[in-house]
Amino acid sequence: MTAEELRPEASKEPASQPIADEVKGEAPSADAAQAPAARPRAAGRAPAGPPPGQQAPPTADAVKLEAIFKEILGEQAMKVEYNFGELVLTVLPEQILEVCRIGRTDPRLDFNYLRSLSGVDYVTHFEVVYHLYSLDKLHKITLKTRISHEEPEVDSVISVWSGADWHERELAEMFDINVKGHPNLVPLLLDEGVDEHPLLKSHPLVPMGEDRPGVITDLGESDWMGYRASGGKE
Amino acid sequence: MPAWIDAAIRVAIMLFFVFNIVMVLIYMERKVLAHIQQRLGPMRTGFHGILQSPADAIKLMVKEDLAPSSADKWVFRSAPYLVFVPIFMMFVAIPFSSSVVIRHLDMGLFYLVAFSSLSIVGMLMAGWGSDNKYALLGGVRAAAQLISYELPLGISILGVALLTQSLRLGDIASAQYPLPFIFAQPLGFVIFITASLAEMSRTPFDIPVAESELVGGPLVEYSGMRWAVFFLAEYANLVATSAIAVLIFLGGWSWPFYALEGVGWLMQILAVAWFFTKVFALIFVVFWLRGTLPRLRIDQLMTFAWKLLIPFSFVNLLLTAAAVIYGTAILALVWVATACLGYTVYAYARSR
Amino acid sequence: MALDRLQTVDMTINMGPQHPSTHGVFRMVLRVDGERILDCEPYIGYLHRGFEKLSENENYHTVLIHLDRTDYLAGFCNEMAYIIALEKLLGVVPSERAEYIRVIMCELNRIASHMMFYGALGADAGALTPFLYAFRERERLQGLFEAVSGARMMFFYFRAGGVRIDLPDGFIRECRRVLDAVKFGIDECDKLLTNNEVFISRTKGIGAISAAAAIDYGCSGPILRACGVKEDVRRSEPYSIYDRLDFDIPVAYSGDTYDRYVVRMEEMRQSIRIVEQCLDQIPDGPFMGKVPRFIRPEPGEVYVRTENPRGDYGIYLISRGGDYPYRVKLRSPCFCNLMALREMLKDCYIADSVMVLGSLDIVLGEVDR
Repeated sequence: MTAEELRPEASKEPASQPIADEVKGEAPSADAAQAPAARPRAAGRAPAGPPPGQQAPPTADAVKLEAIFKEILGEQAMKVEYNFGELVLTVLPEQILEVCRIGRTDPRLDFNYLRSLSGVDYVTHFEVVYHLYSLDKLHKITLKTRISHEEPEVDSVISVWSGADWHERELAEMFDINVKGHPNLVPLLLDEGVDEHPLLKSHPLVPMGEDRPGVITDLGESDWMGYRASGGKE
Repeated sequence: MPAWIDAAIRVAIMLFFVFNIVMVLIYMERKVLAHIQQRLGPMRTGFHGILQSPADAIKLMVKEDLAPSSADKWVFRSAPYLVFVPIFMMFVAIPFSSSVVIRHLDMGLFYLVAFSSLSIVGMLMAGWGSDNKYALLGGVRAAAQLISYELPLGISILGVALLTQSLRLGDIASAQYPLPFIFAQPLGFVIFITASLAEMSRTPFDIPVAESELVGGPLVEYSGMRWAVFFLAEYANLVATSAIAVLIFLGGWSWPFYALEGVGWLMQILAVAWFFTKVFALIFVVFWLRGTLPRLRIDQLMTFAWKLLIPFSFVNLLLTAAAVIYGTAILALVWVATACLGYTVYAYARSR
Repeated sequence: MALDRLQTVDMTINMGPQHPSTHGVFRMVLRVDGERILDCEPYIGYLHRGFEKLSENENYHTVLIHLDRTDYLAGFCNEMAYIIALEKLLGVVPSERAEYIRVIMCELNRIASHMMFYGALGADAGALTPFLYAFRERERLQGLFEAVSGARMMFFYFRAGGVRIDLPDGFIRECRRVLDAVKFGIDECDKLLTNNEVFISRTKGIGAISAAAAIDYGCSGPILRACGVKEDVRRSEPYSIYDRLDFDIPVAYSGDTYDRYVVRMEEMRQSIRIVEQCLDQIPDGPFMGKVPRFIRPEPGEVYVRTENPRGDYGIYLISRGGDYPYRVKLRSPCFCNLMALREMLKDCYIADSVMVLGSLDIVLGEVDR
């Protein structure tokens, strides 16, 4: 298995294009152009040198962690990057639960603290990012996995950290990603009955007050209104 | 003048008096609390806000009287009056001086204790009738709390009854000329004050109306005049209970100025003034506690009543009975018991 | 009728979203048996304003306006996290004076925020006075915030490379005066509540959570430190100038409501220490570093965590070039702390629920974002 295969949409694009190029945001695709963040003004600008994140040398912790992960998972199963000297591992979606479990249970890794669990919509694919931290060993790592829009599924890591619960519910509701194995995957933040996934780049930012599907503007059917309308008889 | 007209006039005067003193107390509480909390309190209505209470009373009277549609109408509507009437009835027996009183009752003390426990019914009705879970919880809490604290309250004042061999409140007050019963019954006094605070649902025992979790308990659905009646009852209860404490423990009007026992009208006014000075001093302490203490939890409150106050009130009663039979020297034991109570409370609090 | 034929059912109590003790629009459904809580189901989202989506459509600096409104009790601390992330992406180094100004404001903000906690916890316990005492101290600090940033809550003061405007004249003298007053005020607050028997009986052993569970749920800040975990981002991953400052991390061990309270009270004193050191050390010089004319970071991503008054406040900022951030993810400490509420409320009484919630010191603006 090669690092290129880590991308779920690898079949659609030339396999030789490295992941890092895409993350840098050069030449956004037609889909990406719709996204507000990638306005045409920005698109033409070529980066003037390596971004600050790539300049810093890897920290000693990061090198050590990389060696441990390579020992456990093998050379090929992951893609290794360094961001501000910290280790960023990208693994396959079907591996993520296993990698997380290893990270939590392996005494050398001991990632007992899930700092953050984020989703990112890169238009061509999703990235689910796990920022892990060890409160005892004081080292950290960023785990990433990439999932396609066609099959947005990722394993729940709630069995590894209970704290993943609401993060995953948010992920599911904001990105329409199915978090497999989550015991209670109900919407967390949005109004009841809103079937939208706002953090998708395809979701427009509609100004307040405009009619859009899924937003309840008429409270006529709610119990409270019925209660008032009946003069409090019910 | 027929007796009933006389009684009616006295009751009317007393009702007028209760309404007014409650307004004074509300103003006083707001001011006392405000100054404890480094605020000014009401300042806009009249000089230093003295017209705040009448203004509030008028506002409450003209407010809409709302009842939840699902409430048990009769129970809901009559509850405030069932709380207020027994408390007002207590004023019938409370003497403010040797002759300023509606009726001197031979069973005065018994009468007061009996009526003070009746308002539980109203609180329970308010909690049940509102058809609201918060109100129900509050009502049940009120019932549990008031019934539990009725016991130490009643038993603690029995000691005084034993010492005076009388239940007549005038006699009890007069009997305290050289020495008020707070010195003979320190334990009784402490238990009485604590239990009364719970009976009145005042801080730190304001659990039934707990603002922070039950948002007002049984009163949560009340508004306007009915709510005002609850408020009236609460403060009237405060006056009545403080008056009882002053009468049976702090020497009433007779201590330390025995001369006030006289029958001249000037003496009577002085006696009433002196009596109310004590009452207001006691009420001030209650307000002071409200500005200082957090609220206990219901289980802690019940533990406190059943494991501490009731046993100690029995100890007090037994020691007092022994003193009555074997001589007053044994009253020293009461002081020992008080010290024991103090230590137990201290040790109990420290143990957690 | 035989007793076993009497059927009882558990009652569910809906607390919130409109409830005085849920500190905003938070809702929890309690399943109770009498006064005892059997289970608690928290519901959030009533204050969701789509911060993350909005940020993708704001330029890099105006995101700060939304950040002030996430944890509205600690605006400076939120701005700090985001600005550090932005500076990292830009490769900008803030000026020395700006670093000090930022830390001073953050620590003052921490005191103000903990004062709010103190007052609210007192009110939850049924004591009225702590709230007023706390607000007296808060008011002094708000005066400083207003003098520096022009606003009392929504500051919008930090900028990439520095701060918007230099400290006003005489700030350092005034700040020392306020700190002396606040020091005295904290002692007064301490006397009012910390050793109060009723307060102790309401908080000791209530809502306790073990260190392992707290870590598992991702709790942070005073919640975690009250469990005996000595974790403070200012020490474990020092940002800004915290590595130059001398302060202690207060830790308590039983993880209950009382310990959370004690930890926060001590943190206020430590914050005063930090501010005093900063006031001694603050250099003269420009309040802005060298910053590019247009804030347009190179593509890249950064995760920055800072110590908010409520805990580990993380910003995950992704740029793909251009004027707008590609993604801003906020790791809110209250969001994670609140997940542990269910665990904490096991076998508590109804009255404890508000105490435990108060001890978490949630700010719904940050939970719901």
